[in-house]
Amino acid sequence: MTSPPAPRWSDPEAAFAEYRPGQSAYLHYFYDLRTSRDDKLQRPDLDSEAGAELPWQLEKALRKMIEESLG
Amino acid sequence: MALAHAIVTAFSEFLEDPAGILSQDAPNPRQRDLTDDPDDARLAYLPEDALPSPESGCIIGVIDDAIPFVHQSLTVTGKLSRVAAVWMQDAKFRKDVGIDLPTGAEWRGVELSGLLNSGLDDDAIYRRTGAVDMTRPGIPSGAFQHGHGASVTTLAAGFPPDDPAARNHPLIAVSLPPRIIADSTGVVATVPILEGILFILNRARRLCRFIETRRKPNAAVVRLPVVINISLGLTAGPRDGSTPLERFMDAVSEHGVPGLGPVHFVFPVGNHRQARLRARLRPGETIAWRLPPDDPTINAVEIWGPPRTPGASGPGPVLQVTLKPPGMAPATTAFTVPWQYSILSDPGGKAVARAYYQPHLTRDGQWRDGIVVIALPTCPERLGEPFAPPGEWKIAIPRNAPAGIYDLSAQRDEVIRGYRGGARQSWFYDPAYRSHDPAGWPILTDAENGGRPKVIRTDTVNAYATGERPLRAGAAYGRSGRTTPYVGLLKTGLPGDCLAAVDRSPTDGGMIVRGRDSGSFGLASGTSLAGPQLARWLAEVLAGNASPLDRAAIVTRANTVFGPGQDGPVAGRDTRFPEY
Repeated sequence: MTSPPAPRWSDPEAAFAEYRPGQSAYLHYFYDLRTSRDDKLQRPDLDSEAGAELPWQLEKALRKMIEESLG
Repeated sequence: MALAHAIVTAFSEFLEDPAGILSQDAPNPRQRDLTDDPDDARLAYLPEDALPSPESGCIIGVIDDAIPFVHQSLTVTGKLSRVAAVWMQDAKFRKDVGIDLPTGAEWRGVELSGLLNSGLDDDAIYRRTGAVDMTRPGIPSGAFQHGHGASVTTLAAGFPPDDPAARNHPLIAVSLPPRIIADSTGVVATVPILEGILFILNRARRLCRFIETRRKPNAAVVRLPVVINISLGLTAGPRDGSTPLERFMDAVSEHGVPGLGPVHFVFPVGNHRQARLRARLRPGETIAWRLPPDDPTINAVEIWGPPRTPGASGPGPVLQVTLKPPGMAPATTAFTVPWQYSILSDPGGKAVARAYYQPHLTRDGQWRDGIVVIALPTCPERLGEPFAPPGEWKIAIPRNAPAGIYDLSAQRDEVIRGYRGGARQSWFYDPAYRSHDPAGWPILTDAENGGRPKVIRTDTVNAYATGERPLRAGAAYGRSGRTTPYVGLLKTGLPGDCLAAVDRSPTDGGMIVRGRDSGSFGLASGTSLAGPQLARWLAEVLAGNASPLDRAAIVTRANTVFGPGQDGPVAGRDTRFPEY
């Protein structure tokens, strides 16, 4: 009995370099889909660990948005 | 609060429209801060005879599609509009009103009253205002005779024009871009909803100042309370109240908005208890995920790990996921830091899925690992594009992951009535999950199911609505008051904080709702219709009594008014469809 063929995960890449409100995995996918269909759209090359600080940046940005909106 | 600044700085990524949801003529080419001129009658929020009482008014906000802003039930006697402002986010940009908005068209009450008294019928006004424009790309939700938002808005804020209570409930509404509603996953709706909330709060404040100048030139400030109904939802998310939308709403309700009374949000609890979109795994466990064929849209699953306290050297090990497409061997990701993504390719090198590692900090400062798995469409939209194999996929949490419960949920993926798309719903499969008992009755709870199924019914609540403040509305049968089987469950197992009558009985589903045009009606169902009924009741409670109420106090009040009920207080059981 042969083992089933193996799929492969690509090496991890950074989705974003820094936090920009509104970004999400889904928007990243949809943008990639658009770039694959339109040569004019391009993503910048990012270092694979470029977004490591994103969770903390998100937290900071969220607090800022709340303060600015309710201030 | 400068709305233009707030929106531009907060949502810069979205304004570049990465998902392509906005029409080309919708963006505002030059946003400016708004300076309302109280002497410009055309820009006035409401006609003099439609202004609410400064002491006993309560503003109702609605964010939805197909807002029926010229419906007779949103007027007072004399065809005067109670719609203080409506923002159609994807309409052709209107350059003289709403100059502070990033996109679309804003119309206000005095202008709308003028149109209502001009001899034009409802349809002509929708066309004149840009709500319906069949020359533009995309499907204008304003053209739907029985759109979702038409039912929701009139349930929340519709009154007979001669009802004395009508005048005290001005409406501020936001019509979302049709492409947002067409995407049943709702994953790109968060930012337009946040924009909509900011719009409603901003215009509500301006309406209060407007009332002060018209009604109380020499008296105290006006602070009307606001109830915002958002009959929209997600079936996947962390469900811990930590998303930016949920935390923003909690902050608004908890701390209040300067210049306004208390602000409350109402959401439907969701309709997917029995849809098998929710599972729980421990490290080393696997769940089957079934993808239907011929699906031109993505299927997605979110995985959220147990909360952890970050150590001195950081949050600790990085979560990985193992994915096994049908007929292939399993493969595990190799993420090293947050916000990386990897693409899974089949043995021939063609992409079939991708995964994003997106941990976040919870509201109490803990670390929570998260992974989003996106399977490509099983039927590509365009020839030559990669696609995922349909069938039974397997998702596993690696054995070496930190101990605890891993929450999985699949995003909704179905066709919304009125929109094209061909989306088909994926679901989790677990042999231990039983949908019906031997007699054919649906099994409604995990306890009734028995055993320890990985697919669960508990915690199937709308993932927008897990913050501490919003009121979550479940649906009940009007005749019996019992909860309808589709209603999502909170973590506690309850079908929402409060219920409202929606379906008449198990054999007579749906309720009569108003359509877009005055006098039209249709039949609809779901917790989307429970939310606005409770928002309306809450607005009546707050009108004239703007003392802050938290969720527990609202439920206590509802228990007093409607009785405790079997699963919670049920509003609207004695309401008949009004004949206007």
